Amino acid sequence: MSTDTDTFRTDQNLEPERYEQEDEQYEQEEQGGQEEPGDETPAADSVPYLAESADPAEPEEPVEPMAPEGAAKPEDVGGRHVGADGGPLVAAEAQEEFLSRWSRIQVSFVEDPATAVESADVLVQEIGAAMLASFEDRSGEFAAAGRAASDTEQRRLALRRYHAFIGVLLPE
Amino acid sequence: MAILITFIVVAVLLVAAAVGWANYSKHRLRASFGPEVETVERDHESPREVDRELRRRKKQHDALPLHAISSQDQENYAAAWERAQGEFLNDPSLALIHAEQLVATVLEARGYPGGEPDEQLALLSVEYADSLAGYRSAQQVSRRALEEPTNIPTEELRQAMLSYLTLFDELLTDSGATTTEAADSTVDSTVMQGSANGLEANR
Repeated sequence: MSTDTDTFRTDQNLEPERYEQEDEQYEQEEQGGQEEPGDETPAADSVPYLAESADPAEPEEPVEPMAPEGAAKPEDVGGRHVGADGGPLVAAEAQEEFLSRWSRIQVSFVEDPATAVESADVLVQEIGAAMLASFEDRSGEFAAAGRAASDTEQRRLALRRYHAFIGVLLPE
Repeated sequence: MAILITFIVVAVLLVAAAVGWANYSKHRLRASFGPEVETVERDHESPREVDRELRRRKKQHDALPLHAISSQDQENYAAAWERAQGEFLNDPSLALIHAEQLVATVLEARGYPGGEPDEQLALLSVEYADSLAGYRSAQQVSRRALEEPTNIPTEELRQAMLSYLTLFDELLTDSGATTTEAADSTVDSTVMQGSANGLEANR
């Protein structure tokens, strides 16, 4: 079971991070190419896609497949939560809580199959509700950002956020 | 004359008391084996042989160096049981086989000799008579699970799992010191070596 979950997590995280990184590069360009102290690719400012093209063996991989925790946190750039767009619908602590509840249900089956089935239904409903709430929060935010966009570049960035979110909803 | 009558009355009373005591302890012995008495009766013809077999079991049992499971081991075994029980969802037969192995491991850890399964059951009947019928039938289901894993109804596998759990819990949490009285004085020292730190219930 744990292997499946791990694969699922990886799938979810890889794709959004790529968007996130590109976003950061664009943000840097917008702000006059200010370089973050920890940036590993100094040339990225002048040649945004250098990092990707420098690694022809894995063109689809992000530059840092195992990005540090900080990179996954929502970053408040220009009043927008850029990093959150690609994050999972269910927050890490909530996911852990759901999964540990599932483990208990799985073990309890032998002692009480009927209750186990009922508990599993409750759990799935709760996971669904959590995902729906998170979905509505985030898509509402995108819609507001889209309405506020007044030029092509802002609309392009708004559309990129939708794209990142689709990557979360439909992980490869 | 009066002396003779008194003597006869006293003698009759003494004999009656002795017979009564013998019947009482026989009854007590049988009661302590509960449903296992019937199993013994199936293999032995006369009531005397049954009583002799029950006494033999008790004597053998009381001579065993039984001891409690340490609280650290209790935790480890309980965790191993949870893994086996969780396995049931994806592979009931395999979970049952693992559960049986785990019970066997705990039996040996408590000090019951492995080897002959029938003798092990006989020794277990002294303290765990009530759980033994379930244990025995669970073992039969386990054997079938090994031979034809796909032909056993899931509910039957689950019941077998529960039978293992009952005995497993009892073995894990019992103190180890024998709970039956009148242990032979020669084996008292070994029997009483079991520590009493296994009393906390784990479920």
